[in-house]
Amino acid sequence: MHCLVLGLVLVGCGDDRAQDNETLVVYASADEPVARLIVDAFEKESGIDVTLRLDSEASKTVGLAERLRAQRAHPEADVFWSSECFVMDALAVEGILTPLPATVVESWPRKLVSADDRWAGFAGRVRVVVWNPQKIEETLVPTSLEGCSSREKNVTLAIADVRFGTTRGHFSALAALMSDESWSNWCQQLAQSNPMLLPGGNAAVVDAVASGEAMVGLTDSDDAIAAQAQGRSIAWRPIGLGLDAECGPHSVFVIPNTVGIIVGARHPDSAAEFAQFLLSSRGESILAQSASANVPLGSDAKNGAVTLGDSICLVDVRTVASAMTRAIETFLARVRDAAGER
Amino acid sequence: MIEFAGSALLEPWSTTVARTFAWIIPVALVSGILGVFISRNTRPLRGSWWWLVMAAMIPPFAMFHAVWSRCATDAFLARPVCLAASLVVWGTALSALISSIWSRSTDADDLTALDGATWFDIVRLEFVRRAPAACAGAAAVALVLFGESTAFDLAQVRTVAFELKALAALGVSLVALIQIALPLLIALMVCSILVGRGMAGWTLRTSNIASMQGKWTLSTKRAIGPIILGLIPVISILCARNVWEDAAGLRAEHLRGIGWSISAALCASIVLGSFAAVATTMMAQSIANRRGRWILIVLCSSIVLFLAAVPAAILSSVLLHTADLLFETTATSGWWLVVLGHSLRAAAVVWCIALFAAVQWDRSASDAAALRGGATSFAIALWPTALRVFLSSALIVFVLSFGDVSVAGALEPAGADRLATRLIDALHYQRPGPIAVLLPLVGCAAVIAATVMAIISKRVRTLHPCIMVMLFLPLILAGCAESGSEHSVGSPLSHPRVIGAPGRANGLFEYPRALAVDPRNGDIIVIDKTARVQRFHSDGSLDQIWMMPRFEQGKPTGVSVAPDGRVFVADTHEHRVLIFSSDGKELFSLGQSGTGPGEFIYPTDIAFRSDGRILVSEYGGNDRIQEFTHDGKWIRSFGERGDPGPAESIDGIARFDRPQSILLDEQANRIYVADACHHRIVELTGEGEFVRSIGEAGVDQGQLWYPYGVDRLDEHTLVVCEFGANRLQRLDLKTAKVGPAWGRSGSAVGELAAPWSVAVWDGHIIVCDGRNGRVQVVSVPSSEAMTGSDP
Repeated sequence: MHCLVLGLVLVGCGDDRAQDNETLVVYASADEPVARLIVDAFEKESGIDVTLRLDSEASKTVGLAERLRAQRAHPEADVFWSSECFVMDALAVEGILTPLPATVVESWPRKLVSADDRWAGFAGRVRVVVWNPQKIEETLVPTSLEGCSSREKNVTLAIADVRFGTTRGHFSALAALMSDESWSNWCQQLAQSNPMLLPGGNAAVVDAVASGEAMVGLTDSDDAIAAQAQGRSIAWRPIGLGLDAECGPHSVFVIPNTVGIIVGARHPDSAAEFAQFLLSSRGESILAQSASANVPLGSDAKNGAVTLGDSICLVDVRTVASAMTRAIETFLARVRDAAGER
Repeated sequence: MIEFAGSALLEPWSTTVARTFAWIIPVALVSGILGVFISRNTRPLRGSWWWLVMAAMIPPFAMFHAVWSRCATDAFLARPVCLAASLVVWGTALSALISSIWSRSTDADDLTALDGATWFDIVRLEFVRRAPAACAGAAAVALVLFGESTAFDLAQVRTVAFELKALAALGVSLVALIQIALPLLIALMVCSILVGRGMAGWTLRTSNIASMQGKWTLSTKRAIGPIILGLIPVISILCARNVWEDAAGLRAEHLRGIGWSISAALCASIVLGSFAAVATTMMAQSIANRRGRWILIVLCSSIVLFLAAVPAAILSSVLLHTADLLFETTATSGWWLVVLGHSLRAAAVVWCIALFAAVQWDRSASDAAALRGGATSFAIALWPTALRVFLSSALIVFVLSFGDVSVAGALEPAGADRLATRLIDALHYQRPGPIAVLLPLVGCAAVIAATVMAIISKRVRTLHPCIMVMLFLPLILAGCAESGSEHSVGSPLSHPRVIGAPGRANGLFEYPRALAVDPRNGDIIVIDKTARVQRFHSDGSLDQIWMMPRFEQGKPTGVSVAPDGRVFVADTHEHRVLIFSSDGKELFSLGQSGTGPGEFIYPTDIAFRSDGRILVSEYGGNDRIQEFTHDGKWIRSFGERGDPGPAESIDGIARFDRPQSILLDEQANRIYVADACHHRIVELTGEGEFVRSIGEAGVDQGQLWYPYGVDRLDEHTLVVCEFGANRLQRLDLKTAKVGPAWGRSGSAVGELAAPWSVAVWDGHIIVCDGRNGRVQVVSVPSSEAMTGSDP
């Protein structure tokens, strides 16, 4: 009995793939089943073993980025695959990423590669507006982020906390198109409409809409698809920024996945091969056909469950990132002011 | 980078702090008090104690998810109520586990009573005596909840821990984070020292209560009821889905995850259990000798309480940076960092246990030991208490560490796959399958940990059979596990194209079974267990979707497309064939339930003659092929249910057992039937007369095991998909040879799980990969390759 129990305990002690010198270590903030689809396919086709380190919803991508910063001198990871682009760009600015080899990026659309070649984007999630068809008519659902501030008064809007992830990027992208005054006014108008700012993230937005606590919500396409897959009562459509600027009033806002190679990676060649796998029709196809239904951006891979008739809006990440702090601080200040007035 | 944290807050800091304490303090107090009452009739390793371990092991966020998903209503108030209920259940279990230590350590338990006392006096005396235990339990619950925001996040309650996490995400500097959190931490520390000092004095006074005569009138034997009630939502989640079907989705990563989680938590529990035992010994000696007792105790209390109160975002960040500064290797990737994180998190809880075990220890034993000899005798006298403290503390630490996500989630190295982390991800992405797999594993871990403690303490010689089942459950499930390609036999399909994925959204599938190709344009039609008929273009893009009009009794298992584009659906459990136009408009229905001519029990497939006549296969007792005119008039039937044998060749009547699909070859005047439960392909003449049987039962290459689908590869070759063997096999009509096989069991791309149907179109084999929720398309191999290699 002692030996049996000890044996059960030691089940988990034997995995030392991370210490195997030949194993590629990939940090990924993508959803686990999606990440494993990619890794399984890559391992089969390349013969390279991969150890995957995923992020947890408890730390929301920040955990992996923080690990990379802490490990700067002695990195464990070879590749960082992020489900969004702003954290990746911040790591690039901090010098944690090394330029991608020319062979990896030369055949990839230039608009998806950062100016310093330190990261590249591929298959993205679409920002969407979800609504509960039993609570609201589709005609009352906002058609753009900019239009959310001028929605009907009785339309309750749920938004994930703007300090995280894709919501932060979405808001910051809109702020980058506005002057400081316009942005402040827009934030004030939105804050005074009393939106629900949920700490649970994009999935909480969908949950709130499906359960009737909110009529509409802003979230990502993969969360909306996951909710529909569970039979929840929601409808959704892509949503863009709304301003008649470079993205156009009818474009949809896409946040690409991104990949970068870590400075000091122990397996740079394998890392480059993995990056190339992601930046390919094969990689985008797997993501498009997966449950997350990412939209292919750089190759001719076919769309999955998300099909876009409108043009795709890809903002300049560096411009948006530089506007991010101002944008979020202003929005938070207007929210605090509006709460104080109530 | 933001240097001033206040500008990055969503609301005034005081509001967040007030809300946090407004939640934590009542939950902790209620949990502490209820825990005490439950622990009165709880003995370690007996009866209701196992329920407490199970409930405490389930992370608070999982408990909330279970209660919310099962009890949610449209009322806005439901979410806070579900959160409160789930936290109280979890907290009570934890508090009761802690309190159960004292229920055995206080000798006055069985002696103290009041003669002729009122009910109020008895309750008051009970409370006074058990207040330290209640406070210890409440303190443990409060400390854990203060640093753990995940359950509150799911419930949309903004807490201090979440705000600090948000600030860290926004790039607020570590210094600014500490600045904003420090006043709160100092206030917490001061409060706990004051409360602890007061309780210790209270404890010392109450431990001197003399024995009194009388009897108890309070009975709390049923107090475990709320815990069991609280576990019902969790159990119902497991019963809502076919757990054994989902167990097949158990991956090697999950088993590795449970081992990893147990290992890390056990290491932390041994470290802290030892710490608690040593601390108890030292504090008991200090208290007994009345020397400098409070200075050191207060100092240590301050440190551990500070560590417990530090939010996870700060703690994990500090640990990562410190480890990287101190070591020159990839030390931050080590599992030891996770153990350290667990230990620092739970140190305050075991300190509480050690402190009160020390003050509760019977002083008469120390006096007796002191008379016989010095410190050695004292230690020997204290050994039973120290061992009990070690075991109890270790178990509590294991419980807390196993479910921790905030600290360990940030510290775990690559490939760790901790269960709690995977569980929170599954909850976030609303994947009930993994939840149904992971929650039982959490329960198994609880049983394993408790059993280890029992063995060490030698308190049990034999285990209850139910406990044995739980202990071996991971091994049982391992037998069902999809362990990945390295453990499967055969080769996967080569470079398949995947259409769809598991899910209910458009373009996704929930266990697709029926598949057909439109002969006019190559469109693929798939019907799954949500009764949706989805039409895809040959490139995999979704074209159209419609629902079956009725599906309460079950969903279709077969579909065929006529040469004119009409879609014929074998509406299996509705006992009919339903015909749609090519764009999904219902045209007419064929047949009804029965055994007579033109009636069906369970129709499975349809084939078409060039003149419009329709062939329909069925099983369920009828097990035959029926033929109809183009407008649905019955013509004849052939075949019957029975056992294969020489009689078939003699009378020309095929004996079927579940003819699952039919293939008509008018040019050769042949009909081929996948006779699934006889594990063979039956060849009939065009008129239905038995010709021969091809294939024998078995899972080896060359044998067939539940062939469900058949289609033509070329003039002399068929392809068969085997539901039971999770593969495709080639069948040579000239030689009657079966093989080679393509594909193997698994969930990776190129692998198959319960393939129900297959079609061949334009040089491609299209297979309905049922349990994997997708369709896979591979190229038909060349003639040379067909002799023995993979497509």
